[in-house]
Formats: sequence, structure tokens, C-alpha cells
Amino acid sequence: MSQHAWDDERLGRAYTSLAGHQPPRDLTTGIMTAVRASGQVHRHVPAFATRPRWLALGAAAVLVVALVGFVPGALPPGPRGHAHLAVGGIELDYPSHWTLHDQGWAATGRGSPWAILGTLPWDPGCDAGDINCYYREKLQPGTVTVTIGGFASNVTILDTDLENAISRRATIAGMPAIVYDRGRVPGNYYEADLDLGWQIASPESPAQFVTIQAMMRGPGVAELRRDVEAVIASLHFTRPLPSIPPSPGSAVHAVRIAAEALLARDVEARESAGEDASSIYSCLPESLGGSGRATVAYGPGGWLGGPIHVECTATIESIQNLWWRVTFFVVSGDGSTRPGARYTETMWLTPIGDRATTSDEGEVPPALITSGPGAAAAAARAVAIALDNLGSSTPDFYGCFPREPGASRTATISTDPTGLTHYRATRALCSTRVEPKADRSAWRLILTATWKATGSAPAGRLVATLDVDAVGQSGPPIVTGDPIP
Amino acid sequence: MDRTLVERARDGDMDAFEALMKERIDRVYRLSLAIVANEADARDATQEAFVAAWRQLPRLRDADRFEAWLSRLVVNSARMALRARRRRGVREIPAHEILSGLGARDPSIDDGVRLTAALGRLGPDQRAILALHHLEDRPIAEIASILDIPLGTVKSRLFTARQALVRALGDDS
Repeated sequence: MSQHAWDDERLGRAYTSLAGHQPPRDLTTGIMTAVRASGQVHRHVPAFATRPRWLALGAAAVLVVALVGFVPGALPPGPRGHAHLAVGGIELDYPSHWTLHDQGWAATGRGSPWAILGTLPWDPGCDAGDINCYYREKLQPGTVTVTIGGFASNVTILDTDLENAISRRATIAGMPAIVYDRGRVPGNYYEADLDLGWQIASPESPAQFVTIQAMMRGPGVAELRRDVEAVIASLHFTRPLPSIPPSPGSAVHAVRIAAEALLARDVEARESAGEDASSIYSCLPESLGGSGRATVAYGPGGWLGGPIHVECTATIESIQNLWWRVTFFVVSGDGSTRPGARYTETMWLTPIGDRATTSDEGEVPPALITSGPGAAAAAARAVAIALDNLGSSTPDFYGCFPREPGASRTATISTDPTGLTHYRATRALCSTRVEPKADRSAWRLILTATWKATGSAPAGRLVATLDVDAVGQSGPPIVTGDPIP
Repeated sequence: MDRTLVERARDGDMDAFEALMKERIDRVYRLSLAIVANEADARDATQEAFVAAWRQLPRLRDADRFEAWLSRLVVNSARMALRARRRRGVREIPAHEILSGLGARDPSIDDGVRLTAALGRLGPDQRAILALHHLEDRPIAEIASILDIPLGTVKSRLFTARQALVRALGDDS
């Protein structure tokens, strides 16, 4: 059956009918069962056998230890005098006289803390789950504290700048790392005599790190440092490390991986933009190192407002035999509002081609506005997007204007273009006019509101002029005329 | 939003999490359904989203961001459910096949059926952005935050998704 066209109202009603659907009755129970089974933090299993006070318990205790060893997820004891910790995809050994806290705290500005080790006694008044309570604790003489956590960055470890003099690159547990030795920081709140840090790339991605910070206070700093360095030396990842085989076929393999990665980006863009869309990722060069050309309508941020020509290159490099780095470089050409603008996308891939992290720089600017057939429809589309956007913050002013260029309508205004609300409503005639800018970089949108004198309030006219580009992005409005009564 | 409940759940309080979940399960299920367009998958996606929320709550830095953060988990779970469905080779049933078996009924319900079928022909990202906008009435800025894309991208994607949906609805009429 056919009603009206699929306008907002009809679509809204159809979505509302979906809102009538209720979840199955047993879903709540199912979710809580799954939640209880999932756990929120990794738990530590004490290394019973290494602690002298347990040895006195004799054969019975040995039996208990043996049984614990068969519990799924239980961990083997560390070396003598050491306890073992498995958390966040790493395992390590630490001196058994250290205490461990791993209550699963909320993420903080320092990333997500997984565990805190050391000899620093916690204030008994502190709730064990309150990480900030721990952060307030100052070091006492002869104590050490080691914070272990995870951190996801938008910069890979290899692109992270070193801090002069206090940091150096290293390999920890087979992965690239940065080691920080801040020594004794003057005025250090914690009164630490030595502040050390490790930032280690995880096998999953060069932009995901395991972070470890160790602070210690003398006397005995040298011995405490040795303990901490032994902890770091024992660290290893529980999952296999990535490895690119140095085989003769790896170059061919690399090319295929790069092509697949870029094609996957093209498919993603098409999923968002529609099957018939032509995205920048379709601009694949015939060969790596060569250049490709294409006319595209979708950039990395979405629709470009019209077709533009682009030229692109792609390269692939093996980085420390751990990851592939694919660099896709696009230069905008004819049809763009800014020919020559550059966009670079860097994808880090695992040896089997899974995307580990992506970063980008620059942009693919929108297309020039169209001046030929279809210009009116394109202008109307861009104006509608711009007014919708402006109207989301100040609906009482921009909501007055019709979406169709050249149209007028009467409505009530109670807010001025800056969003300032007035205490009285003004009945105004609002008209929308649009004209192309000479350089075709945007349409000039001219919004005019006029109102008649009522009572003591005088008649007036207010004009907001703004540029709207081909995708409907608008610049700041220039407002002239009379204040709204 | 009850910030205290979020903070308690973040600290591992399962009762607090259950209370949060019960308050939101209807909304999460409907959002999942609008994206996956299939009740069985919506159920799976809802469950996955809440389990992921429980597991990842300790990493939520700002409790006030809980709603948007949960919506992002829901969108991701729904996308995963769709991918799994593709692997299982589930066939979408065109709306006219469903409607022909129903006879004349409330037009808005028929439109709901048509919408569900038409959504089945769109990509996951398009379904998600449409659901956030039309079903949940989320402002553009919030959708940008949920989908982790720029404001301008939301607008252009929404526009394209809307066009694709209307085209799909037209094909099924």
C-alpha cells in the first residue's frame, strides 16, 4: 500500500512502531548469568609453595597446592622467593615479600591500572578499590611501589618522541619499548629518590602499551632498583609475539597485504556511503611505489559534496619484523576547493594483515560547488544540512528559515542568531536566499528575518550571512541589522 | 543518570550494574533491533553489549559519559552480530513477502515491517546512524561522539543513509 512519500513524519512513525518491541523476558537473567561468568579483573593466585610459613603445614598443604594447580586458570609458582602475577596479557615474577593490589580500578589519567606491587603500606583507612587513595600515599624510607597498567594511544611506540636525557628505546619481552629514568625529581610529591618507567608495545598493536612505573625511596635504593629490574626482566606476554618471516616470498606477501588493507578500507567506505560510491581508497596504484588516479566522491570523513580528482601512492614497510606499515598518500586535484591538499593515512598491520592501528594527517577538502545542471538541487541539499546543523543549537532562530532556497515563511523567533534567548516571541517573515561564490568554494547563504512593529517594539530586519560548502559545512555567520525586540 | 550507580558498578558492584542494566535494557534492545533488524540477533547483541560494558567499565574514566559509551558498545555489538549473520548466510526476506501474508492492517505497523525489511538492505553503519537519529533522537554532536567520527561526517553519512533508506523503502513498496 502506498501512502505519502517517506517524509520525516512517516519515517518517524515507522521507527516508533519499532520502539514498541520489548526484549524477551528471560534476557535480563541471561545477561546477568553471562556477566557473572565473565569477571571484571584478573585475579592473582598466591605462590603458596614459596612462602616459608606455608611449608610447616606439611603433606596436607602440599595436597592443597596440588589441587590448586589443577584449577583452570591457576598459575604455576614463580622462582623461589618470588610470587607470580598474570594480568592484562602479561606475566611476571616479583619478590614474595611485596604486597599485591589488583582490585580492578577505574581508568584514570594514567591509563587503566591493573596492579600495584611493592613494599609501601597502604593507609588502612583507604578503601582498597580507591586508586586515588593509593595515589595520595607518599613513600616511606626504604620502600618501593610499582604501578602496572595499560594504555591505548593514538601514537605508536615507534612514533613516540623521546624525552631528552631521561628516556631511551629498548626491547622488553621481545617488543619495542621506551625506558624512562627520571632519577630523583626535585620536589617530587612522593619523596622518591628514584623514578623509573617502562612503556612497552603490546603484541596486539604498536599503539597499545603496557606501562610500568616504579618509584623508590632510600635507604637501599640500589637494591630496590635491582628488584624492580628483575621484575621487568621476568616480564613476558602470554600471547605469541608478532613475527614477519624473512622469507623470499615475504615481499610478494607484503604487497598482497597492502592491497587487501586498502581494498578493505574501500569496502568500509562503500558500506557507509553506498555501493556505487567512489572513495579515495579506490585510487589504488597499479604497483606499490607507483601512483594511481581516480575521480572520487567520498573522502576519509565521508561525502565530499561532488566529484574531485585525486592522485595517490602507497608504500609498505616491514617494521622491526613485527608489523607492516602501509602508507597511503592522497593529493587532491581538479574539482577540489583546495587542489594540492594532502592526506596521509598510515595503517599498521599484523604479520597476517589484521589492522592494528590507523592514523591520519591532513585532509581531503570538499569539492567545488557545482555550477551546471543540478546546481539548484545541490544548493538545496547543502543548505538543508547547514540549517539543520545550525538549528540544533539555536532552533528558535535558524528554525524559522525554510530549507528551500528562494522560499519564505512566517514563524516565531525568540532567540537571536547567537543563541541569546529573549523573553518575548517575535512574529517574523523569514526568507532563505542562496548565491554561488565567485570562486565556487561555497554558496553564500543569506537569511533575512523581518518583523513589523507591535506595541512599543519597533519594526526591524536582521540578516545572517554565511558560507556553506558543498557538504553543508558552514562558516561563522555575519549578522547585521536590528536587535530582535 | 545515576552517577553513583555507574561508579559503584565500575568498582565491581554487580547489584549496581544489574540496576543500570534493567533501566536500560529496553532502549538497548530496541537500538540493537533497529540495527540488526532481527530479533534473535538483537537479543545476542544486547547481551554482548552489557557483558562488554561490565568487563570494560573499570576503564570508563568519566561516569557521566556512561550513556554515550554504552551506546557505542551497543552499536559495535550490533555490527558484530551482523557480521556473524553474514557468515551464517541468513537471507533477508523482502517486505512485500512479509506483507502479503499479513493482509490489511494498521498502516504504521506495515510501515514498521517495511522499515525493518528496508534496513536489512543497508550497511551496518547506515543502520546505526539512522537508528541513533530517528529512533533515539540523538543530537548530531552526540552521534559523532558515539560513532567516534567528526560532526561533518555524521551529517554527510546521515544524509546518504537517509537517501539509501528511502530508496530501499521505495523498492519494497
